[in-house]
Amino acid sequence: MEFSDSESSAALRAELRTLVREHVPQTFLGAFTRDPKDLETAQAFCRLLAEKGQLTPAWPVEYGGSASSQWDQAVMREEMWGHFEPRGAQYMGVNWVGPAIMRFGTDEQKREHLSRIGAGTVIWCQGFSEPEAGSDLASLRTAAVPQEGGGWRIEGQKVWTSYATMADWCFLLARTDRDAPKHKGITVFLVPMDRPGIKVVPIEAMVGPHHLNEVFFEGVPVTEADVLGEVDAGWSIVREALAFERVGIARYARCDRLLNMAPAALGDRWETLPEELKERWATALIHVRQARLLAYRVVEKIEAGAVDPADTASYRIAVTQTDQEVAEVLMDMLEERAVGAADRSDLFARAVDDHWRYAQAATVASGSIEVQRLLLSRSLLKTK
Amino acid sequence: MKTELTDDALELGRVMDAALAKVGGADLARAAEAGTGIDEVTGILDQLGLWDLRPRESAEDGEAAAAACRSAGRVALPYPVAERLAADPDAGFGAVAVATGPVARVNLISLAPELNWVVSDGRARRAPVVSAGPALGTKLGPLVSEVELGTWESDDSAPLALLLPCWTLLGMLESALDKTRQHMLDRKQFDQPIASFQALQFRLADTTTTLQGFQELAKYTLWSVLSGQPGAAVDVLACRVSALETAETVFRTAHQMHGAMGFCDEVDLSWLSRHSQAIRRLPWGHSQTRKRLLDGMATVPFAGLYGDGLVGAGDHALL
Repeated sequence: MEFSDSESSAALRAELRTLVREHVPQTFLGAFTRDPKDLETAQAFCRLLAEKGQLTPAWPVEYGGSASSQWDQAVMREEMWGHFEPRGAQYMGVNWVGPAIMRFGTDEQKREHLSRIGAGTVIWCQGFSEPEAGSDLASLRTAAVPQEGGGWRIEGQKVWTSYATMADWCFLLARTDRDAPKHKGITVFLVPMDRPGIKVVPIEAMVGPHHLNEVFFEGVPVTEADVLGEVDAGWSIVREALAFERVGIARYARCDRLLNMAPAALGDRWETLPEELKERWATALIHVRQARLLAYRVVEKIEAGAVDPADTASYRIAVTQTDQEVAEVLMDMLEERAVGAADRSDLFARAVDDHWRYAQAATVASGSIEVQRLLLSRSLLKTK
Repeated sequence: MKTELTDDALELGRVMDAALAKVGGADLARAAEAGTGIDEVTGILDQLGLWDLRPRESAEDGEAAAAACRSAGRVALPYPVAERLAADPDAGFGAVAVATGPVARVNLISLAPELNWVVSDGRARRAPVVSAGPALGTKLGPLVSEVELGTWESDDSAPLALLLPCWTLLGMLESALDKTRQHMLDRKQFDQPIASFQALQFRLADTTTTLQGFQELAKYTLWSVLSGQPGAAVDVLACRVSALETAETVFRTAHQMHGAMGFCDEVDLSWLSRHSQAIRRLPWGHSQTRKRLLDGMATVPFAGLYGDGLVGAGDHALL
């Protein structure tokens, strides 16, 4: 066994840390704040990564990537999330929208989208969840109503749509056949967000600005040219597209960084913490290590071509709960500062505040923990 | 990065599993409590060539040793496999167990008293066992004996002596959860297998996730010890914390799913659960192990992506 980074992974990690140190301010706590400079930082960092060939390293060479190893992709996920995701909203386009267009797109769509995603100059949002379709996504009702003379008009509402206020394009799911069984009759449309009839309404929420929005579609015109893949084949496209992002966010990386920072950040107050809390801190470090190792277990299986949705499910169950455990430990350690940093220069307290608020959604977003438990238990209880 | 045991280690595990199953599996533990069957166990282990392994000298042998401990745990094997593999026959001792406290207690010593046992203090000293009392014969420590110790001397056995019993416990937990899964499929209530109830499915999923986390940590820690990583001394304590947490979770789930049947000596779960207690309580339980881990982290690095757990040594970029 060998648990050290390979030479190439170690070099990549070092390069990414240098880029972050040189181009991302130390005060950066993520792109999604009320300060527009944070988004500008992320956009500039994406363009820089693109210039260095590090924005889409997992992509095939023919589309401008370098077909990097699964392990190098893991390093990329860790370093970006550990440093408050300086790619901002780009990871969605890079991680699965781009690969889905490669797999299902027309030549025209590939020309239109891939070079811009690869250059880091375009932001995507995903038009999936609806008021009545959350974990049961296939129940979505947003309709693509056929028009005389061809094309459709989109009528409906999406909700919880992250980055919709800043997105240029939407990866939209809409129902093209109301009479088909619910997993059929769904089509993927690639729709520019400035098309007439689209209205975005931000939702104020504890997770912070830009994460949650409503998107209303009122008679939005779409054509055959906007369809990704086949009409009515959207469900299988989405399943495959999301499989491109099997491992998901490396939440353990930021947990690792914040936990390791805690003793120094707390200074003299570290010594006055109850022993029980320090022991919880040590235990959280163990759980973070375990979550990282479960991610590596999935990566090794992907490399071997033997990954199963159940493998990803157990990793996600572990990492999302660990994210929340770490959030609670860190908040306890902040003591009175946990309800808000008195000083904007108290970056550690602000980082913990941000981590705690975002961690609340860990077991809900990208497939709730209950869905992960279903996936895992079904696999475990299959009759062998 | 390579996160799986060597093929040779995995093969040894498979062969040992098959050999032990052939002679009764957990029935060997039943026989041991009745004072019989030890010759059959030692015969099989000799044939497998376990005692030729040199974990201190070879990482490949170390991985094979871990696999052997896991197989021993799967049937709660009444023999000190981990204790023997962690020892150093060239240094004059054939079995080592960590023990502290006013009265040193050692598991399984009565089954192989001839091995020149030593006791490690879990840090850097060992003392020879000069006499061992009879097995306690209690429900939870049937094969545990109190021992008298000779003079302490310096020693480097602690990492392996703490880690290999974690691998034995891992085998016990894998076996307990596997039997639980099968019980869920076989046992019918309200005219359907209890596996069809979502509350139980979710509990199985959560328990499996906990066990998988420990499996991966056990491998990482083995690598850390065998490759001499700077943090090995705290890594083994972290691994033991995880082992104890996971044992509590797995056996709680296993007993709950089995219902009253799980407490009966008729089923293997009862034997796995009872025999796991000696490993889980000796040398230290959960809280004592966690305290030792925290103490150790003051001077020994607990390696992470962004620091090593040492106070003041983390990434200061956010300060």
